[in-house]
Amino acid sequence: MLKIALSNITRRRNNSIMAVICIALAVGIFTLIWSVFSLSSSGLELSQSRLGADVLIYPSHAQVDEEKLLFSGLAEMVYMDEEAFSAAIAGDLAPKIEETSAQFFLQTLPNAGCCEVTEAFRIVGVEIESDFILKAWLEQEGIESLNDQEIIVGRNVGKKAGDTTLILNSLFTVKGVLHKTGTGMDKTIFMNMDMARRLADQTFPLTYLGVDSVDSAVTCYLLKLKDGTDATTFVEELQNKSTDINVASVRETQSQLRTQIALFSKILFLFWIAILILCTIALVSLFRGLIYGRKKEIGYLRAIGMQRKEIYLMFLWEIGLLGAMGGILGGAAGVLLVNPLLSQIQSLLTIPTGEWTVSMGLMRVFSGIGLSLLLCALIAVVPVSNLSKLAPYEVISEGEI
Amino acid sequence: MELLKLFNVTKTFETGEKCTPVDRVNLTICENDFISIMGVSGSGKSTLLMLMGGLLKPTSGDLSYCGESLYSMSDNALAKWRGKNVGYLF
Repeated sequence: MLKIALSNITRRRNNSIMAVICIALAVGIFTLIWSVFSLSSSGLELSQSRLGADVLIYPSHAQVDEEKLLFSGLAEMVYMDEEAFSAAIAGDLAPKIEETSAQFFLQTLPNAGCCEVTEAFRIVGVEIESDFILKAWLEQEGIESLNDQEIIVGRNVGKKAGDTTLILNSLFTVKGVLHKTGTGMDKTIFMNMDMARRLADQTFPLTYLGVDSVDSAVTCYLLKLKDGTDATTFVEELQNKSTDINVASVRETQSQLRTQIALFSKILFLFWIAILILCTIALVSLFRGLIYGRKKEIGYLRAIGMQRKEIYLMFLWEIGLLGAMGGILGGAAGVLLVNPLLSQIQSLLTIPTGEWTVSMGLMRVFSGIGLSLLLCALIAVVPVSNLSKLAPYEVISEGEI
Repeated sequence: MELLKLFNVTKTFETGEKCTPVDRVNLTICENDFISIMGVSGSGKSTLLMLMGGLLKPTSGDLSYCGESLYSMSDNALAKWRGKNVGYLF
């Protein structure tokens, strides 16, 4: 039966190619949209669960918004003085803060010949003792301290624990590699705050950094608020107290991103529905042609003794094979295009992304095949069933023998 | 040996107008017989061949092959019979 189905497919090459293209298109776009949506949603979940901060504070003169600071891995070299933060939280706001994590941003210089790494990475100086962003991971990995020549790298930096690397003319040892977060942390190198400040001081002139001294310079603060504290009210109060800082609610930023992703996904979903309708119409026409245009052939087959069940099976094999080919092609193309599409979307929107694994890709390809088989079955079962039920004489007569 | 036997076989088509191209035909075909059926266009030759070939059920009468009634067979058995015993040249 498979042999007959295969020879039928190759005999009607043009129709078969058209059918496969239609199926691949519908499945490919479905796989792509599903993958992008689930990756961006899981990225948000990941960042929410691993970032753990409620409020972000950064200098008011920074030419960057909080979404980029939180999720893009942008190494914005803007600084404020520790004093600005201390002054802002002084008074009734300080008791509402449970934990504070200060960060000092610096960028590697890939083209200056000083680094082994070929891509620019964000260096973030942190105070390991007070930091709560890396805390859970450090505890899990049993890391209690970080000396000046040790670094922790994000998953996408391309280094593994124990590696040594030259950063801005200083040699460092990788103490650990972070789990995937789906945020800019994946392309970040973490080191001691004092070491990051020293590197900045050695590499860049103070006028370039825009500070009088790097010793008390900080790029941003991440705050965890005490239970029961309303982040939105806290942000408003803190913002009203100081014009030197920008204050943003992390949850609000994430919620805004979620809205953006939902809107974007809705547009993509509508686009997919339109494609699906067009492909279904094309497939209905192709399959009807494929099935009803072969009454004569069915008449011959019935006359020489082929049973209804066998006719039915022959068509199902044929359509199933076309569906599987379209599903594999569409699913694979969709999965391969996920990263390029995400890069394009990320150039328009700042969105975190979840981890994209081989098993996820395979699952989506198989789902694509499943969808294409379902689509083909829905379109073809009725005409095939009707045709196989016709008596041989009727089929031959209508087939104009 | 009697191979194919038609007993009062009638086929009536009712597509708008009633038409009976094969009307109470009795015919016996034995092994090694070589038979020609001749007639003017529309006289029912093809219908008779379809009936004898197991492709068309008679309206009335019976048709047997080696003593076994052809149209009492199931669709699948009839398809198998056609595959095994009948050759067509369309």
